[in-house]
Amino acid sequence: MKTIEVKGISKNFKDTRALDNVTLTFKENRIYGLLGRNGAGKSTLLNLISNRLFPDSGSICVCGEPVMENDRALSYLFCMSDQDLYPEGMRVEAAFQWSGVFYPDFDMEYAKSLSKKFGLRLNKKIKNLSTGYASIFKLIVALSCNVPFVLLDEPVLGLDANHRDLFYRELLDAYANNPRTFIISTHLIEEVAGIIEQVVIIKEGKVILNDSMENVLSMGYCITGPVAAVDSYAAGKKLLGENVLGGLKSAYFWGQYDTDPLPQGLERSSLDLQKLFIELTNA
Amino acid sequence: MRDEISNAVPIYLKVAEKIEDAILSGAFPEDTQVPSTTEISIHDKINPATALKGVNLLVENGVLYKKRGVGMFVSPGAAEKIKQRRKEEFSKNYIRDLILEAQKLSLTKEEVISLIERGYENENH
Amino acid sequence: MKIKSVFYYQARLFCTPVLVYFLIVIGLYLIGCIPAIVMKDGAEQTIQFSGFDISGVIFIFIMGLCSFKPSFRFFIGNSISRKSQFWGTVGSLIALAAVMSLITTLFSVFFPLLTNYSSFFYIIYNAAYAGLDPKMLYTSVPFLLTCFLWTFLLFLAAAAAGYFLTVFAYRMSKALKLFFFIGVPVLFVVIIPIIDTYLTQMTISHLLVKAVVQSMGFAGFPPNPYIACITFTGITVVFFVLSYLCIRRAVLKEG
Repeated sequence: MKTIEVKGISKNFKDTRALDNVTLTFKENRIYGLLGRNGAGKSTLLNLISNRLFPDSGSICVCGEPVMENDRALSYLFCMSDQDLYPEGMRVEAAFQWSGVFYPDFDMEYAKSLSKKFGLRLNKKIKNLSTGYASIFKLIVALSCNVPFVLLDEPVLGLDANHRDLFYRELLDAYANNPRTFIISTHLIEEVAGIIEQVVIIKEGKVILNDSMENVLSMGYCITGPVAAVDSYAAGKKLLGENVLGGLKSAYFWGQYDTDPLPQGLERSSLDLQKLFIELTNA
Repeated sequence: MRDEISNAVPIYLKVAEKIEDAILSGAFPEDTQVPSTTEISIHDKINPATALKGVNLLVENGVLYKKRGVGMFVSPGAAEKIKQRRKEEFSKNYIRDLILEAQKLSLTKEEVISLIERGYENENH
Repeated sequence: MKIKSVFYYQARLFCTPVLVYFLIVIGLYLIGCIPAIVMKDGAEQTIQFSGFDISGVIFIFIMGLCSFKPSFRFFIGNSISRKSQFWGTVGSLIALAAVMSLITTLFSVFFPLLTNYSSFFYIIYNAAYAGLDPKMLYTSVPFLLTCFLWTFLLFLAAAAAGYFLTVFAYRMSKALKLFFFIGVPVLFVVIIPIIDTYLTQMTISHLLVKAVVQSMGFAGFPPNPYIACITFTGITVVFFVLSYLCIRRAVLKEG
């Protein structure tokens, strides 16, 4: 079974608990959104999965094999992060060639065609690339290496709107032509909301949500109206947060909304993924 | 008491609606092939599974049919089917909201009807 | 399974520096030969070009120093285990030591053709070959084989030392780094001499010198280069084992 199984993973850094008993499964051929506030633990999780860090407890298995120090398990994944890991002086084209050595299924022609689309010059030194183009370079490697699990940590850092648009389309194209699992960790929630199927939200090192987009969007809603009416409606329901403007209150709820008619003066509206995320992750 | 939950229309329904609109406008004529789910997903920047769900809904409704190995095609009489279904839902989608809003504004039924009549007169000019 | 790729990458990295190094050496040698050719008749050449091959030890030590940190980040980013990185790098350092010692030994064969030349090995161990004609030595296969082996193991030990130092430094916190890299030299250059001078009547220094001399094969007469080979092998193994222990838990650091 092609999955990434994260079981009971905990990781501490000095006095911070970055991840606390995290258990997750990433299935094959799916696009996941890994969301969380700054410092929530997303990057730590991705670094643990890709053998860059060691967990304090728990285990991670890729396609049934423990990933730690295991070349075979590691060959099933590629992790793209904002760190610059390429040697001083290496040029883009050489980096592509080395990717072909380390990843046998790396598609050089595809990488070159993507470089052309994005305007990435093959003879440029990687260290001389701007933030945006450094991300583009790493994205192209990630899309071209044709492994079952592609981990993208803030993939669109520094990319202008045009390039971001192009990236999402290329990702969907690659996903359609050659299905694999993408795990996208990002702050740009609204942009990825359309393309992700499964949402994982991490808050302070714990997984607080792990569900399909459909379910998630159907579980969040907002009630607006006079303060008293909203408060009495809120009784017995799971309140995520609220917003008061004078005598008008908006309250955000989590749960299957009933289709019964609302009490006088109240209005119901939907919560998009970003609004939901904000309410779920506010302290 | 207006229920705005409708602005949380799931994406797959929006996809189905868009295709139906294109059929009604003639952009997708009957018995011609519609774009693949991959093309739709890339064009609208949505997950292919979502695009597929929208397309499958239209297949269920008989608006599209599948030709094995080739793709999805617009069914003969699809435009009529769509119009019929939307006529049935016209009441739920528009009339109910109209009445609720009118009640909010304390408009009487007669005032609403005269507004509708005035609206038609403006359209015909 | 990724060991080969790592080996290939590291070996490629060494190619250009090694080429440059040997071109410089050959270049200097040829320059050094000019007076010899010019003053063809008469007195023996006065240009001493012997033993420069010791610079190879420094060169390969530096290659060892450079073979960890930038490559580590690159390999980790390409999902390669630390185990494979270690073995691939060790393999490449062994290959590097072999190539360098082979060329260095060949210098012993060809350099004497134009000028007076003795390899570092000969300078140290000539007492072991005292009974033989120096000019004939350079075509003596047993001599060359021993020279090659000794040089190879010396180079490998130097490479292992360099590699270990850089992996060790990567794992150490700043405080520990200061402690070791200042503390160890201070221990040998300041503390031990002071203790020796005032407390132990030079016994420690004596013992240290004796240990070095004996490990190089000078315990008896004639000196035995094979003892040194064993010493170098021991040093190599120790440094590589320690390197493996350090690299096992090396994590990817920021920046």
